[in-house]
Amino acid sequence: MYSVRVTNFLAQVGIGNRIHAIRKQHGIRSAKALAELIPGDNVTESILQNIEAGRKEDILVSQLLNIAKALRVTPIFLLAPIATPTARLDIANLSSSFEGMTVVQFDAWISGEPDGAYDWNNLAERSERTQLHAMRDLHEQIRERRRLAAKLDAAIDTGAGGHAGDTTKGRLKDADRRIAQLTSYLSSAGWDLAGWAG
Amino acid sequence: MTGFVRQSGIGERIQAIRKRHGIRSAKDLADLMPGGNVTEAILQNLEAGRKQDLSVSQLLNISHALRVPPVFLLAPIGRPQDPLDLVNLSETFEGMTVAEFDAWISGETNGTYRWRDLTERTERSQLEAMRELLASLRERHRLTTNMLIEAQLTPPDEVNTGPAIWDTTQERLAEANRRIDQLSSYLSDAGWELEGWVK
Repeated sequence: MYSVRVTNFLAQVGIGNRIHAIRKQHGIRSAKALAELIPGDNVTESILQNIEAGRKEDILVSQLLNIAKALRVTPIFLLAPIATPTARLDIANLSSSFEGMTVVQFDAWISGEPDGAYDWNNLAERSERTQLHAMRDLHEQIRERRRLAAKLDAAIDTGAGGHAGDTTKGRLKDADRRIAQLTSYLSSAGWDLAGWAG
Repeated sequence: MTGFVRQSGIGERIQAIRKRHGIRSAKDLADLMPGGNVTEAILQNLEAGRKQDLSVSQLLNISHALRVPPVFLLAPIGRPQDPLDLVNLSETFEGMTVAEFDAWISGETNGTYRWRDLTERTERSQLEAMRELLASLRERHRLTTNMLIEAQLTPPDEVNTGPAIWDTTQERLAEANRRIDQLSSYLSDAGWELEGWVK
């Protein structure tokens, strides 16, 4: 059966084509209009024109971040044709250690996914990534604690304590316990969490 | 203990991670990047803070050689509530903390970064779907292997035909297949090229 398929703008080859396609998709008419979303002289209209035309392939990290931010996408969308997960990377000037790396593996590496397509080789690598994950987990737990605390307040205000209140209390205790665990793990690894997980 | 993840400045972080990983000199690190564009001199300039902005390929080459995700070089990940310390960022980054930056870079859905509009969210949900698809494919592979082993280990007269009390491998495999179908049809409709991957 024949079906009409859109060409995904996240499947473009080359960073310049991807910037161009995402810019259009987001309704930003010209390179000039995009440059105006990036205050400062780090990314000018002419730099953007050169990148989009493929004349400039290797850009500065600051330029990558500024452009991605202005386009409101996570930088991986500019770095790799994410909609073609099994394709090889098309980034200029990579060392040969990237040889054979696919887009989906690259994504797992960049995002530090523990169960992703990238194989983390050694222990040091893994312990660093565990810390990164603990930080993300901690953030979620803090958010959960805030949510539960607000819920508990509301339950007390409406006098609807009883069973519902107890469950929330129990979950709040869980969140507190997990926050304490993660905080102590990260602190002992040398993290500075003052003012965050307090 | 001062964590190597708390250094400020990209140069200091490169140096701290290099040392922690037992790579003695800038030259040894440069040697780990064959055919790359990062020489010993460039590394020395970076580590000394004389060069602060580097090209994307240099960032990727160095972090790959150091075996850390690039965010470890870009931000003092051990100080999540600190502001960023990268040079030449536009003022749209003002007030962004390290934790928010990490969520942005990794495209975390429930992270600290607030994805503002719908397009932004649609694109990111495609990314999430791809990651989940990968996990489901892996699960299917694992379950398929399990089924083969179970079949080999179960004598014919002991094959249980009654209703199972827990989810059988077969049921879980069917579930994984259903999810794979869903996700790949969602991504295909959005124009993703999954040929040779989901099979």
